[in-house]
Amino acid sequence: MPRRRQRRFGKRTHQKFRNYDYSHQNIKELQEDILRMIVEKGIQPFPIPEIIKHCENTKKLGRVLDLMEQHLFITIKDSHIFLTQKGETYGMIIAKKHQAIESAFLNPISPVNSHKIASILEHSLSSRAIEQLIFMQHTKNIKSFPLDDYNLPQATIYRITFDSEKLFYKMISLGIYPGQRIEISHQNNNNQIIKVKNSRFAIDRFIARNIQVIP
Amino acid sequence: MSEQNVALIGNPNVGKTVIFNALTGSKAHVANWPGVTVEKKTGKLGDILITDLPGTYSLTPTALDDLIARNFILEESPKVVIDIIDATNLERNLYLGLLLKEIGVPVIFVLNMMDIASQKKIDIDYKKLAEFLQSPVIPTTAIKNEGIEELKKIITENIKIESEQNDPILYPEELEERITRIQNLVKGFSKNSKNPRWIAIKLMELDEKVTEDIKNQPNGENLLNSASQIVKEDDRISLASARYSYIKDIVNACVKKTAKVFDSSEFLDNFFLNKYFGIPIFFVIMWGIFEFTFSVATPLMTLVEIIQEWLGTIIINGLGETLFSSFLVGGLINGFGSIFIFLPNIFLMFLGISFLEDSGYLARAAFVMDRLMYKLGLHGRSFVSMLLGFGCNVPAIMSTRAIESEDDRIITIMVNQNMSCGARLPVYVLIGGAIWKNSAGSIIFSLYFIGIVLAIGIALIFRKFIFKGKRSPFILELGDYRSPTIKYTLIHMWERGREFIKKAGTIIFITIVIMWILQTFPLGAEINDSYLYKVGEFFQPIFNPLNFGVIAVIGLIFGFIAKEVVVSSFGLLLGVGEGAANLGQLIVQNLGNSPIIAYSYLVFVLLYTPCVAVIGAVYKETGSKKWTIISVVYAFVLAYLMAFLVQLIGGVYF
Amino acid sequence: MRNNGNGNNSSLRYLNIIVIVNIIFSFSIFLFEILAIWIDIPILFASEGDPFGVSEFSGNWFDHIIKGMIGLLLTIIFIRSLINYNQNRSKARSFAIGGSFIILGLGLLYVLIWIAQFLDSALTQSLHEYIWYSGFRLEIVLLIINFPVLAIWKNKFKIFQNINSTTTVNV
Repeated sequence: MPRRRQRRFGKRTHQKFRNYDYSHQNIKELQEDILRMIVEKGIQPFPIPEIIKHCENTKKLGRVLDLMEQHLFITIKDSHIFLTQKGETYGMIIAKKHQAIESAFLNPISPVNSHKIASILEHSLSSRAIEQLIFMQHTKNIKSFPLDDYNLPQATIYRITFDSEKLFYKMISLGIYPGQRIEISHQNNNNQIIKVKNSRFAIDRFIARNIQVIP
Repeated sequence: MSEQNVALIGNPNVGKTVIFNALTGSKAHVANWPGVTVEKKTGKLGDILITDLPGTYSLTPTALDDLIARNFILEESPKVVIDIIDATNLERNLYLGLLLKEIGVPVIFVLNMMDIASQKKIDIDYKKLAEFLQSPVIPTTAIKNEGIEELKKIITENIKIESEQNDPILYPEELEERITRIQNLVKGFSKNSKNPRWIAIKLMELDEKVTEDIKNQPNGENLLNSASQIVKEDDRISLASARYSYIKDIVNACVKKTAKVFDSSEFLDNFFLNKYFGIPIFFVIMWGIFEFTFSVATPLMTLVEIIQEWLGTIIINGLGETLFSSFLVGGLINGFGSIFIFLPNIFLMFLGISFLEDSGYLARAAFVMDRLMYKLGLHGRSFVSMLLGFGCNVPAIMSTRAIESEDDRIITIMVNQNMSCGARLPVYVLIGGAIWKNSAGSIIFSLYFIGIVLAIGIALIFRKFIFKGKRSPFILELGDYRSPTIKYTLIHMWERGREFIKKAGTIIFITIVIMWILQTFPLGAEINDSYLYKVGEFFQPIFNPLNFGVIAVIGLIFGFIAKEVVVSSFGLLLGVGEGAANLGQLIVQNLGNSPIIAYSYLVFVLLYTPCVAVIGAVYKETGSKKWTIISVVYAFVLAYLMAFLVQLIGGVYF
Repeated sequence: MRNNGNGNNSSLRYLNIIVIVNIIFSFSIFLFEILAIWIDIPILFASEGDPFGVSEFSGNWFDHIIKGMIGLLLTIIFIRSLINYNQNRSKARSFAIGGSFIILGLGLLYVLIWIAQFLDSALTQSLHEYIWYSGFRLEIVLLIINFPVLAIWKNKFKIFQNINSTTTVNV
């Protein structure tokens, strides 16, 4: 049937830049993309024809929408999609992931690429990885200091480098771990007093040296 | 009637022991200094057996306190664990709480110190908190006894019901996925494992104890190998971070964000921890405590002497000069008197130290002195133990438990004996007062000073030559300053003093009685022919180079058993009551009437083994016969050498 | 100075006064004790007195040195508070309060010792002259003057709320 063939090839060879290209995706990814689109566009109830515009394979779309209804992400009424609470939460998570990846890979020369990368990676990276990405973003160009060589009153812990298991776990249980914000109140030659999560600790030089911080 | 087991757990200094007292009615020791209550204490609430676990920040197997707590929970399977949380420090305290929930044991959370929280304008929605934690949360202010009845009610209710399995707290998906995989491995390994999820998480954290336990089981190695393929290097941190972010979410939901509040402790720390003023301020405070102890104790000591004499006179008048009355006076009354006379000193010192502890200042003192201690290779914490030694060496040595490093602990214990304890004071006073009269105070201070200097020097030597290497890391939590409650300060004072009396009292009493026997028999003999004298004569030759007479030697021998006995032994031997003014003169005569010899005698008393109770404490804390023997020998040798040195130098200059 | 209408104004003013008064008295104690050394030393060698000289509080040159040093330290502490007043209000106040606490503690100590010595002499039925002489001492005066600081501290959250050393409470 020449018509169908033509359309398929047409899509492939004359591919225009589009925000939502759903032709090559598996079910899970398609679900996530639909949710993201609905959340980003902010229109509720969301007309199904809008989605069809971005995904020609209506059979697949149908299957996916059914699945989403089963999972209680959406409810369908009159060709419109209503997001449930669960669906909205999921959609927002995906949208956030997309944004995070986009800004992490942001390249002023070709903005398209970062979006495309985000579209691919957003389905594979876990929330934890995204956090890591964000953290890496912030600390990409920053040098960290050992705490005993640091003079500002506030710091964020970047890394803790203790050899001894006991000390390592003790630090963690006191709230001294990467990401934690601390205040430094007193400094001696050999000791400091730091404020962690609303409690004060006196630590000596050895411990301070093994805590890497950034401003 | 079956006993139900309940455990009490929580961070150090959250008021755990106060709550323990409130629940069980017994009087356990509370300190602002973590690590003092390492031993498990138990008490009863009706039918329920409550065990007070050590204060810990988490449940890692590498720290002794944590291990004790964790093992108790895993092995004794308490019906309920009561986690006591400091309301002003929710974020950190909840870390332990999450760990407990992960083990799967039913938990009741107690939100203590609500009074301070409201002072700091911290508003906690504890009902919401209970929802998040899926456990009861009870707000209390233990020292004001608020909330305790409610707590008792909840405990007795919860102990009857069977706990339902709560939903586990979920980690981020990536971690969860791998946890499940390891969980399945664990399930495959041991079909009836009670909590495979917990084991999986522990394996992910590379938990030493769990790893070892599995290794010891058949096929354990396989499980460990497969698991290690799934575990990633920084999983430990990931898990901890996840816990903390979950905690942060809970706290954000349940605690109202407050406006800025005046931080009174930081304000005071500007003063007490000042770079230049910190140490002088500390010495002033210490001087104040010592002045308090020695001066205020005086009338009480006089009182004891008076009572002793008065009782003695009554008995002699009533019964005449019989053997029995001699036994009553010389043995019993003298025995008790020897114990009671120094009690005021000891208790007042403990009162002072308890006051400092409870107010929160003692931790600051450790910090301030740590700068100096560091140069000696010691800890700020060692310093506090040494300070306690001025009251009595026995609790001082027991307090070294708080020092984590083995090396530091042993050095502190060894050196502690040079801290002149309260029991030696009567000897100094007696002999010092006889010779130097008004300047006796300075002489006595010089002895304390020598003790301190030697302690420092020997600590340095130990550090440099015997325990080579740097001292262990110093970390110390500085809690808020609090105004100590009279009730609890007195309770702590009593706790410390009671322990001292128990340990030392019996020995001293028995010693006195033995001494009386040895001195009285053979009957009718002159003092120089009594068994006591013979004992002295036997040992005296050792002390010839030091010019100590037989009576002085006898004093030393019995002083070995308990220092407090030295003065009364002199009294017995010379046939004079203890309080008599000329007792001092008589002793000095026995020491060749020479101030130099008398001073060297005092130095000897200062340095040789304090008493048998101390030996017992040393053995208990070091757990090693070798070190105990070393401590006795080293003390004796040091004392001998220094006394000899004194006479040498004294002979040259005076 | 902010006027919160609940007495803060007068409390803070009282603190300022106390600092100055404490400087004067502490320095007086310092001078007095150092002077006492020169006066006491001849007495030291001449007296027979109580063989258990340790229970005596005065008449001992060593004691004078210690008390003199304490007086000097306190003087310096309060002077420091004064100097810092304009640059670092919080530090100045903390020195004032801390110094007051020390004075209160030592003052209490003196009272207790005085009582103890009185009891002791009653028990041993010996009358030491210093019982009368110590009826009026600088330390007791200092104790009384600094007493209101306790009340000020009790209301610390109201009085010091606006001082520049507040920290956010992060729970």
